[in-house]
Amino acid sequence: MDKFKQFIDTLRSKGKSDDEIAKLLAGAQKFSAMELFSIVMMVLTDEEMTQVEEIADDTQAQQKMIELFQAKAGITLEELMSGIRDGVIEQALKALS
Amino acid sequence: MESTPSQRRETVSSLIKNDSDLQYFPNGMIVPPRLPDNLKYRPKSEQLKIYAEWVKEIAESGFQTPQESSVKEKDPTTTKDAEKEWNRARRESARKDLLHQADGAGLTLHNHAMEFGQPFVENTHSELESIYNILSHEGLTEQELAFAEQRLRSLIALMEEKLRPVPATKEKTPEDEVNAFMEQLREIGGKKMEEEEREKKKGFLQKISDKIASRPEKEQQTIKAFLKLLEFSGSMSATILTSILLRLSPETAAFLFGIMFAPPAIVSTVLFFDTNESIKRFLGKKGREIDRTRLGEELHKKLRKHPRFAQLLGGHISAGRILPMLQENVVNFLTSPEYKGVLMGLAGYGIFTGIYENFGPQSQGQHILSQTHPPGGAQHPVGEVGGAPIPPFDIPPSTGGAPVPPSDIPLPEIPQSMISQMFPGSDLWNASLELGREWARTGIIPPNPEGHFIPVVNLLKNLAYGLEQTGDGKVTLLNSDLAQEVVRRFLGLLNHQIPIQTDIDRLLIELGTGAPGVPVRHATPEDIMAIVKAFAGR
Repeated sequence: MDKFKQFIDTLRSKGKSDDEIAKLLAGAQKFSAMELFSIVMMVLTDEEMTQVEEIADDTQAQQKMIELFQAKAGITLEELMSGIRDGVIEQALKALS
Repeated sequence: MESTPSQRRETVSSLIKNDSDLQYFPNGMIVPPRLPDNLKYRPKSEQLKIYAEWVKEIAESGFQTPQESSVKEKDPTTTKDAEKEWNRARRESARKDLLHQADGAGLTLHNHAMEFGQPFVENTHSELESIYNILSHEGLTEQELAFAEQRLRSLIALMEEKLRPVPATKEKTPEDEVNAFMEQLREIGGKKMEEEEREKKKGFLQKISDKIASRPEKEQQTIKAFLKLLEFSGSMSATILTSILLRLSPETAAFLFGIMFAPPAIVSTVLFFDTNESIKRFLGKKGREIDRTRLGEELHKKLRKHPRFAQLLGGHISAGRILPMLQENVVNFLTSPEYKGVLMGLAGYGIFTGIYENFGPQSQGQHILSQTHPPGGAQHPVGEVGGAPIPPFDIPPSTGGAPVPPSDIPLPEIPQSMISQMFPGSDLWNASLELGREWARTGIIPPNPEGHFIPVVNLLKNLAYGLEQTGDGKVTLLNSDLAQEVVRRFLGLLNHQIPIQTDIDRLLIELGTGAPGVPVRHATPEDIMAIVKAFAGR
């Protein structure tokens, strides 16, 4: 959570309003989500994606997707998301410094 | 009355006035009877009939192609030869037709030179010359004709694009949103980094600028947005690159890849992988940089190949556990009084997101990709990504879709559980997201006519500023019944179903909608007290 604090404090020190900060944070979240999206797409092979797509039920297909990712990457999607989130905020901080 | 072949020969001969004409009709060659220009668009049976008559006419006229007359004599009435002849004449007819169109394009270029501007005219003229060079040769193959035709079509399309009137109000594209976000960061960070990066890439950027001058305006915008990303090294560049790639036509994507592959344009990045050993190990990228262009290409391919997977993944991220988890983290952090304003801003975004999920293109069975391409422009095959809810760009449009007249807005039936969740703080985002979804599902909340914010969101957000803080860092706000009453009253006023009668009514309108061009003010504790007293006394 320290990174969020740092990010917001930096923005505040630059004179940004709360609304503007909120928008930037929301943007960072969206970018993080996209990063996750890209990585999962890259990590799984065509064959694995096909396995998922062949499951008719959406919930079960999503579960399969989560399992396949964890088996290959060794971390959960949630863990991955945490890493990405910190990375994105770090990048934003670098850009602001 | 139709002319006989001999009369036609005579006519043609009379047209040949000098040596330069003669070179097209060497050594007594006879101009063949011309097939109709639109032959290929006619029904097959009609084509065959015309073709049969034409062959007969050829035979009567004694016409020979230069090649045939110089190689050997053949009976043009045999099927094989006649077919060959027909094909040759058809190609010749097409060639002339293309030449005619090229003339038209040249004329358009000339007539609109001022509007097009010098670089465009020069580039297009050069391309037109090149096309003329191809078309000036008789006996072109099918491939050569197709090549020339394709180039000519592209050129004409470019000119049409340039001449198309610019709409008065430009709809915000995802690329615009990206630009706005990047611009905000860059503004805050100062110009120093930008200047350094620009210096580094000066040669490269110039090269690209030269290249994109002749692209359609829409593509130029996309590419320019993309170029900005190159100035912004780091993981976000790759993220946004990916986002943009998802929305490009295959042609534009290919064009960008072409640029990216040109040295020194290959910009590699480590993405976030340098902080995540397991992923890095898995991808086999240890110690190596990842070529983000290749990453973009691979993603593009995979998205097109696995639309359902993309949809499932997008759904899991945005509506499943992932994004809410991230949002909850943010909200938990922000629930301290110090960050209350930011929190409320995020709540507004949550409601926005929830509403947009329903009002957005996905809900109308139209894929988000189709938004970014103008009618008639190159598009991804709609449905290939199958309406995948791609997370980063579920940003509401500034105009928010079709406006609904205020008088048509029904009063909201706001679930009490949602209202009560709105304010405790820790679950604010999820609650606001749910609230937005519910309102959108029931069609209660239209975007306001001025675009950027939804009146109810404004009202709640601004009321929150005036609310008291409790000692444990949570925001204690109106009780749910009271909040519901306030919102009902406000919407009634907004719909003109209730006339504005009191100072409180005016205050609600002020906090919820603001005057045009005037920033909405935040409620003060005194405002809140007045509202609470007014509603509690009902």
